[in-house]
Amino acid sequence: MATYREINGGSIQNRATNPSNVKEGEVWYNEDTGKLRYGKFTEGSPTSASWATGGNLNLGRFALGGAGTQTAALAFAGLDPNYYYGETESYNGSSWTEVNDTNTDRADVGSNGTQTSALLYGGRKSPGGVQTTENESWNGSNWTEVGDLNTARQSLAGAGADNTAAVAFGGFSPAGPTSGSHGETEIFNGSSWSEVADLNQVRNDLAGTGIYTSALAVGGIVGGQPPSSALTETWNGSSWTEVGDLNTNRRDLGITGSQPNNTAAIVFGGQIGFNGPKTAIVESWNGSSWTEIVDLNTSRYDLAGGGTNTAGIAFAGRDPNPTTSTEEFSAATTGVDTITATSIETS
Amino acid sequence: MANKNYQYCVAENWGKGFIEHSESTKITFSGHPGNVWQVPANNKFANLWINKVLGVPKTCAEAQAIVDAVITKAQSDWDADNVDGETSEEKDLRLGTRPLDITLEE
Repeated sequence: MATYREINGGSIQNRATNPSNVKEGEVWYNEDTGKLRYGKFTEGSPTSASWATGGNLNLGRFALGGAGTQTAALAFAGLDPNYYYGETESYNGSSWTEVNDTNTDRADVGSNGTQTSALLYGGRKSPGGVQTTENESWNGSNWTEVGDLNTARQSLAGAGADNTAAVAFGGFSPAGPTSGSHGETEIFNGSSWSEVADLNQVRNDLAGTGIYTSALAVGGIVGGQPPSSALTETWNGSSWTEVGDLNTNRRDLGITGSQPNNTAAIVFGGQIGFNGPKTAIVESWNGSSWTEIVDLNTSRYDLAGGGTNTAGIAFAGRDPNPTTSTEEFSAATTGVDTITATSIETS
Repeated sequence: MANKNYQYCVAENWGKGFIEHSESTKITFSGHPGNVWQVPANNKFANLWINKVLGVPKTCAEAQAIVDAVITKAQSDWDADNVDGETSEEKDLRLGTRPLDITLEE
């Protein structure tokens, strides 16, 4: 008769206590209780964060804008990789529907807002990928051109609850009198932008979330030079303060926060280093530090996001090709399964 | 024979319901170019998910070949996409950096 070692490839381990991360089917001998124990699958206990697939976009693209929530999101503009898009799609929690296009096709934009009240500003457009100051306002049905940014730039970030108030920061312009990475921070009052302050670290390809008086600037490329950054700055409506760094430096990452402040957010995906690998890493912000949590199911960068830090949504991006994929984040799910240490009954 | 940590399949992500939260909390998924999915080996939840999505099982080498083909095509497209007078920095800015190889684990 075959021995346990011959069947399993190893003998049962003696452990002083039950392991903290039990695997289903794992068997060990608990020296403290004097019992054999195994990892048992149990229905109905709380568990931790997870990502599930959502409905696929109709148009695969990256470097796009995003707004809204997990069940009411908006995707607009973007790139593929030589064609600039103005296509806008609306998400209802399960599928994306094409709605009216932006007035200017563009990519590497700044954006903020909701599914029915959003802003789209800056970026680069055809021909030649020239940087733009153009700003468009979405009312739930149409995009309308409104007051332009003061500084033309691409790869910027923004924050704001809707199309009546926003803050735009960072970015890049490769030529002209303002060439290089930008730190300029501009505030939108519903009709025009005013420059009010600078980031402590000029950078581009960063992520932003929050509202115009309480925002977060994360990651990116400082000074337009490799590698990418882990820097985080918080905005209080008048100035930026450097706070705790990301655990993994990256550029072109996605973000979603818990409005109306800068004290809770998650970042997801991105490109590590300057020209390094794409990543699936997700980190959670608690107002002072970042903690790595559960990864995206598919690593990608140049993606967009929406929702909150407990019910977020990530969509589009490149892997390296443009993707239509959507993933939905849940911070904690009740009524699902877990694995616990259980005694083996012997006769 | 060494134990494998992962198994691979090819399955097209149809969107909502392809990966559920209840599945994602039990196993780790890693999606790769070419509709290649990596999930834990010798795991009943992974096997159930592969059955659900009608995944076509692949060895690591077969999965690697599928991923390589997509990446090689993306790299070739990137190499061939040039603009007269453009610097490498300008090309990185226009196209993003050159796609990197991906190595799958057994």
